[in-house]
Amino acid sequence: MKNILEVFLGILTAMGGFVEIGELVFTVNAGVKFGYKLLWMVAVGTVGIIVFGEMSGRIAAVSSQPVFYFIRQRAGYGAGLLTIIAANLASLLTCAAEIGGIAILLKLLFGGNYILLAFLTLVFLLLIVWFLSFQAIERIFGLLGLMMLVFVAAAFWLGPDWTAMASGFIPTIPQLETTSDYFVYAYFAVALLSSIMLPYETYFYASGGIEDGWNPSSINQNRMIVMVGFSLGALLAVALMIIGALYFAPLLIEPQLPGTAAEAPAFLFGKWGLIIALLGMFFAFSGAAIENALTGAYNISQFFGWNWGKYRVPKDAPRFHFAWMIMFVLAALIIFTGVDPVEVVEYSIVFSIVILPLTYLPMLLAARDTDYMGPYANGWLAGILGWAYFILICIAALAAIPLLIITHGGKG
Amino acid sequence: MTKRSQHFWIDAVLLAFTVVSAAAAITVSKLSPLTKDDLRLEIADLRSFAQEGAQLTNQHLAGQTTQTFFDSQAEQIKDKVDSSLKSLRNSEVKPEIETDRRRAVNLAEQLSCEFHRLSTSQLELETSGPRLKTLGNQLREMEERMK
Repeated sequence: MKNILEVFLGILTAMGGFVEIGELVFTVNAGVKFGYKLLWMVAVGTVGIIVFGEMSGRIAAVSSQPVFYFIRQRAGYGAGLLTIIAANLASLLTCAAEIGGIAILLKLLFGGNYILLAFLTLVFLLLIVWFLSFQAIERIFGLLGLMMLVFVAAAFWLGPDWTAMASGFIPTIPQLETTSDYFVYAYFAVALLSSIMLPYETYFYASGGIEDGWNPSSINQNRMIVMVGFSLGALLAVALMIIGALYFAPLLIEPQLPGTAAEAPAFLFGKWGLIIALLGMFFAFSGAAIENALTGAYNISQFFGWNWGKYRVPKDAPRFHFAWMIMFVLAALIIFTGVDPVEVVEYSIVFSIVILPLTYLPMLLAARDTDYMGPYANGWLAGILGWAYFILICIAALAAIPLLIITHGGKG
Repeated sequence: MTKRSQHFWIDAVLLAFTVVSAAAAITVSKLSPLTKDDLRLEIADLRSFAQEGAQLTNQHLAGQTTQTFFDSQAEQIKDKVDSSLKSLRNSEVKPEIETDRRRAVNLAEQLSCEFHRLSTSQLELETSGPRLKTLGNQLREMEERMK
């Protein structure tokens, strides 16, 4: 039973990568613009995050050391410091976007002033993380985030062409009208890969494994958790893309607001479909906000060698607990300026892309080190996949920012 | 200089260069005069808002949304329309697309009024949907012409 419950760590981690506010809007738009043609990139990204997620969990289980310990150890203090600055900026901006997204959802559910709702969201998140244990957080937000499955039901209800959908999983360069369309396609492909493989997912996942008391006997459980959690995230991403292709594209709507995505379940299942979709998004965004605030605190504490962990009372890890509170407060302050949460995520991706290679290389080096990992070092499959994905993310990291600029953020 | 400190400075310069160039490119693109492509993208956004407004109204009339959702979503779309309108009004454009810009401003003003009506008069809901659809079609024609 405990093993089954631990799967919620994987689900909660995946929520932060696949269905946070920016990713939700972005994935629906990928479906609007290119139909099923980018489904293969969801598959490629999902296998990639499973590979590195499993690696980070395995390292944590064997050594009880989190990702940032290895980044500092393998890359050195200077490169590690730069990585932590970029990583925490990305987490801060993503956390801000989620707080803004939650305030928007509360407004859609209950009405009221946006800034006041953002303040209430801040209080809600602070209280949740202060009073609930790590296990309670992963189970509550992982479980209730499953209300997002209403989007899977909606995608199924729309009656996709299964043959066309299956062909979407085969990597291809489609026939498009203009050169500009090819750049937009490339931008969406690269951004999808980068956003699915966001580094903070591995920071959070490995730290979560240590919070859950993993040891070498947890390695099989770790594999099961990453496969179930990230596959579920991928299923949601595929569903959102189908909804974009079959519901929004014919209506000539390119969603820019989180509430727009909920209009599809409302059309198919009425008011209850709408409410379940909004609640699912509420728990998914809340999970992503908590994931990013805790990730920021984990990173700083692990890098500087402070005591860390939700399982430690504030008296035993004061700087760690202060750090996640500061993350929430700074994130809320960004939202109080009135900035658009979806735009904030676009900026956070810039920082995330830069640190993709800086995060995954030290992890790859540590996971293959037999002196360190003993019999649990990377086998041939993990080794080949790890290096192949490392090359792929380096290419994505180089291409992402020029494509962002050329395509006006993917608009054309 | 040790090898580690050399690595640090190479990494620092690369990171700073990437972030600063991305920020500079975004800032320059926001401050520079609207090109034909920029104008077409603004029009595409407005078309999408108009179509969503029409669909949202139909869904609300069919009882598929709550009143709070309808009001809040319409208000958020209106804010987006007003932001586009402000950008269209305040941006400099090249002389050859000045006529298109004026037409886009006019359609954006009509769109903003329609969304204002949605939030103030429930009686006009049945006529608002078709009006938003018509505006969406006009914007679509303009967008296609500018491709």
